[in-house]
Amino acid sequence: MSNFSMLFNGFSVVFTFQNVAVCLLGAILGLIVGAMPGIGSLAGVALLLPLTYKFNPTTAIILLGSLYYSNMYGGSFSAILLNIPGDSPAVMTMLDGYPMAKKKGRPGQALFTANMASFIGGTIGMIILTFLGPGLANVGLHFGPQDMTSLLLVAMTSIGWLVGKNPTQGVILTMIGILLACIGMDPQSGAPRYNFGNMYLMGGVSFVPFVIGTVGFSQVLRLMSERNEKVDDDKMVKQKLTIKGSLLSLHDFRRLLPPAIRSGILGTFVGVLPGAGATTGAFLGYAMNKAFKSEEPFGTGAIEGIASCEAANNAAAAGAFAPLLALGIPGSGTGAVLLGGLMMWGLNPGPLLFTNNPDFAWGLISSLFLANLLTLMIAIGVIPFLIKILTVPVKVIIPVVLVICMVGSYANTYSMYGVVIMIVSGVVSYICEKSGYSTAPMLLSFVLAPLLESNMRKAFITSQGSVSIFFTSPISCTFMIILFVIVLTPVIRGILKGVKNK
Amino acid sequence: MEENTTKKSFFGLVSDHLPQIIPICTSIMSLIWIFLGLSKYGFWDEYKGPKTGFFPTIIAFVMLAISIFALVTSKNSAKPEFDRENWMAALGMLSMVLMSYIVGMELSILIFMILWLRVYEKCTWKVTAITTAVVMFIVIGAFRLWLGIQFPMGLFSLILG
Amino acid sequence: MKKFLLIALVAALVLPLFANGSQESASSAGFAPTKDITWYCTSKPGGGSDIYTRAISDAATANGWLSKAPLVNYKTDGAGEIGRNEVANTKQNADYTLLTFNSGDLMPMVANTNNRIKNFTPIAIMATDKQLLFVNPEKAKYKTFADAIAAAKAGTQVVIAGSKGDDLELYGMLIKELGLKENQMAYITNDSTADAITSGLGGHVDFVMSKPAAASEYVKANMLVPVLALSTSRFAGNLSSAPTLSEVDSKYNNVELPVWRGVVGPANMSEDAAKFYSDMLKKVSESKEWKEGYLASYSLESSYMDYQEAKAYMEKYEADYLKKIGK
Repeated sequence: MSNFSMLFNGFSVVFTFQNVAVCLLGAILGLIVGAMPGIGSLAGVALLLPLTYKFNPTTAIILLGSLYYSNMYGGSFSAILLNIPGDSPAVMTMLDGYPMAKKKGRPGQALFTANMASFIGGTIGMIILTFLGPGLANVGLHFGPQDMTSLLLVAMTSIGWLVGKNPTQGVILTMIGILLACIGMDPQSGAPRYNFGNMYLMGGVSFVPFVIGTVGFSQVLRLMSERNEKVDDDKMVKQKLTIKGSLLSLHDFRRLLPPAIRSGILGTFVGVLPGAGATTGAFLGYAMNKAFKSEEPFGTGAIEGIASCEAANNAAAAGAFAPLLALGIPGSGTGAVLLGGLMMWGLNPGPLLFTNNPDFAWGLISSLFLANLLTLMIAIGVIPFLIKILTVPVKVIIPVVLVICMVGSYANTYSMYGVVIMIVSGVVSYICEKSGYSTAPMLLSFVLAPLLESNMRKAFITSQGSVSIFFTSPISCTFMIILFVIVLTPVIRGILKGVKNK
Repeated sequence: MEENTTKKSFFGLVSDHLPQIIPICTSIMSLIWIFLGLSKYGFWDEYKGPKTGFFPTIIAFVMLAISIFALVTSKNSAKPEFDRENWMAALGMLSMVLMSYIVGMELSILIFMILWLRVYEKCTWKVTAITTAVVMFIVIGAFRLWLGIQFPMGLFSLILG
Repeated sequence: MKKFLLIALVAALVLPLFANGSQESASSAGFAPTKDITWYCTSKPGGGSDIYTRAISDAATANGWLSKAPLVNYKTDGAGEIGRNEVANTKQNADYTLLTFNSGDLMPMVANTNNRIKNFTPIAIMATDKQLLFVNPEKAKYKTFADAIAAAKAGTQVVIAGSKGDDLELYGMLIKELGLKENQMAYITNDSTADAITSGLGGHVDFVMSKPAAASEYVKANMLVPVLALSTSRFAGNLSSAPTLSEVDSKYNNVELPVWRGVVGPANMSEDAAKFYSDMLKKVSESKEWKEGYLASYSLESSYMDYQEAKAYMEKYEADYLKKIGK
């Protein structure tokens, strides 16, 4: 129970007027930054760094920690209301969030679900972090390149859940996602590939503009022909735009809870793994929960769908703190920014942080609990105002979203390169979707493929090109068995069916 | 009107054959990836295992196979229909981006918002003004001033040095 | 009261004009920053370049040589090429744009792109840095590097993990000196030294190549132990236990690839500004914060060069490297 008493000690550090105020400020700023497409926690933390010079390290990291954390909440706002992800983990939230808000006319409940699931996922992550902390970080260390490869292969099969009605088309777009992800620097030799002599392509296709285009811009193109038929829908939405109308029913809450808990646990462990991060967490959480029962099918506006990815991404964000604090290893890109913050105040994040600066480390963990609660309260408070966005006629929304797509893509890359990626991917996605190709698998494979390739190549170097390494390591072997079960089950089932029919 | 019909028939032709055109495009893409992967980047190293082209080449082969399958079975696919209306959004976006090179991104957004709402959508001045103000507030207030994003200035950058 | 407010308002509106005026006159005498400085860093936060950038910025701000801390802009895209290209092409604000630039950035840049030193304004070189090989004392198969050489020669593969750029280059020099092939002593390229250390801590590789800065916390915690100094002489402090290659076995020559850490600006930067930053960095390099907080704690050698010396040095380094890779 010593961790528990340390946590209480941490709370006593956090509960000063200044620290709570700063935590609140971080939570509000994080929500806004998260909701703005193209601007992630990275930019938010970088912007606030100069501001934190005047604070002591504990106060400063509380500000950045709460900002980073609440950012995960904010990302779902624009995903649900506008079908544009505020940050990359919110890609999955869109799949169910937007249909639930728009087609089912339940925007308040969709936002509520996202926020409650975030809260539950985050809390689970933090509890695991508190009790397992350094131990959890060591679990991450045990995952070598071969183990990550097998895990990612299992994760890739989850794309199958997203492919939908047209498997052929789904697989084609999955492959396109991987090939596009190959553009840029080769992870092992450091030489450029598939850049066709272009300097920008040498840096690869930027993910955020790619997502904004694929989902946001193509969505506007689709909306153009629907913009004059929306009169009835708007009336329906208007009736529910009060706090009361946005509350979740007990039944809704019961639907939300199991996927949120499952995703919370899974997400925490994904956050701990080297290089995985919140986006992968959200993808995996969604794919895993799709295997369980849900009242409505995923992708049609199911509460379970929103809950599974939102809980997973917040849990992953919390889980990423384990290797960060216990070992000084950033589990994700966003964690890396916080690491930079720690160094700035003269702290040495590393294996000795918990021993040398316990006040600081536990203060940070307990501030995450506080930030989680504060953000939930703020988020719920602003829901009734946010859903007013849906009463705005579609024809007015269209130019606004066009501007946000452009500005968001620009802001993410600080260059017109992002805007070009956004336009091209938007137009191509629109044409593809019209022809029965769904673009979600492409986004998933785009995120996972580079991780898969670099881990696989590292594994092959240690094994001198032998495939056996994936089966001699116990962790990897376990995942390989899971993989074969997943792949072979439908095949065997098909054969059995064929036999029976005969 | 005559121009319109010929245009439409061209686009009609394209959209009618889209179930074939997409797999053909993806086949070409996978061929490029395979070609570059094998010829330029290398596939397998005796000592180190996979080389730069290994992973993309394998994936491209899979994509090629499925693309061909999709092409063969494409006759049954539904033919998508496109409205010219839908492309107006793309046109708007494109003109906004091109205009930023001349008058800068902020001003380009302002002009686009007013023209789109007032001229294209025929909204009232009130709606136009409010919406434009909100957008400009987000762009300048949040992105530019708060987050410190330097938007392109267009030709103004020449004047201001 | 109303009148007072009005006057205050007018004063507030007029003041910036005066401020502008004084700025004009100041710039004719020399350069002094009046706006935010954007400092590009092409490594992840926490990486060696980031620690270095922050050390400079902290020392400069603490002593008042810079009135405001620069905004650090992390541009890791395209292995940093995009960030470097962006700085090279910065036209506006050229006097307010700095880039952390190391030999490890220069080598891939000239090998993979057409970007060259001439597209930048070298400002200073601050320090040189060298690498060591570390083992994880709990999981290591080889306690000394001599064991590893023997194992590699006997046919057991030895795996080293390190970062890209100069680490990869140095590995090439090391196996050449040892007369080993890439399969006998293999190298795993990681995005950053932090990733390489992660795989070392997990026991997935035999050795980790790192500069002292990134490994120091792990050495203190006894999670990494230095076993080979890739230098012509031993390191100081808690790294002194590691022998150089010639000490491991006298038949080998010492292998080293001193990595310099510098600062550059865009080609468009005015000479006044380059001189200002160069002087500022000289003061930083002589400050207590820099010497004790950075050089000593990360085992680096101070080697300050001003903007003219740095220009000559970087250009020669580039020419030599281009010749070496035959480009």
